[in-house]
Amino acid sequence: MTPDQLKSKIETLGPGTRADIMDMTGTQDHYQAVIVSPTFEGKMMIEQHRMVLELLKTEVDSGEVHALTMKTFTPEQYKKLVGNN
Amino acid sequence: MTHPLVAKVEEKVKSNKVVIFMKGTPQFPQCGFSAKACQVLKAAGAEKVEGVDVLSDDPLWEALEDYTKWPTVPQIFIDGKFVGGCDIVTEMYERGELQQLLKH
Repeated sequence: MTPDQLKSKIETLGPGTRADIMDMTGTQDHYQAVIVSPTFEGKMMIEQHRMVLELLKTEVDSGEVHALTMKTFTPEQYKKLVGNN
Repeated sequence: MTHPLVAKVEEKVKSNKVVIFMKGTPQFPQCGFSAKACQVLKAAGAEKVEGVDVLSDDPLWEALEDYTKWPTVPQIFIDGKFVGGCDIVTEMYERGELQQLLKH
């Protein structure tokens, strides 16, 4: 799965979802994703990660995505983070 | 069908503030991720971390997977709630969220 495909898929999570993908190994199966989504609002981090993993279940089960490290943020959390830098 | 030992997992996590299912023990971790998770919990202010060694209590591992539907260890519980694995507790620590959960 290419980074662009992964990005598009993750962004179907909900309206306003933005994903930034990094291919960690250059092999298109070990990815890091920064995901900002209003859908995450009010959810624990584990629930946010589960939502993304559920969305990518087929790709993870098939091994197409072997590893995915995620950082998940609500838009508000992300704004705060960027504002601090 | 639910794994027969799920009740044991549940009892464990409900009777301790902080529980980590890990490889090895908090004193002698047998895996880097388990070791890191223990360090993070300590740094975040956990006074007592109840460790369950999935290597020595094997059947519990299957029950745990059945209980949380999470495929990897370590798995950390605070106040009876599944919080996450090594990556998640580390990220929560960096954001100050883990410290909040460990208060009181």
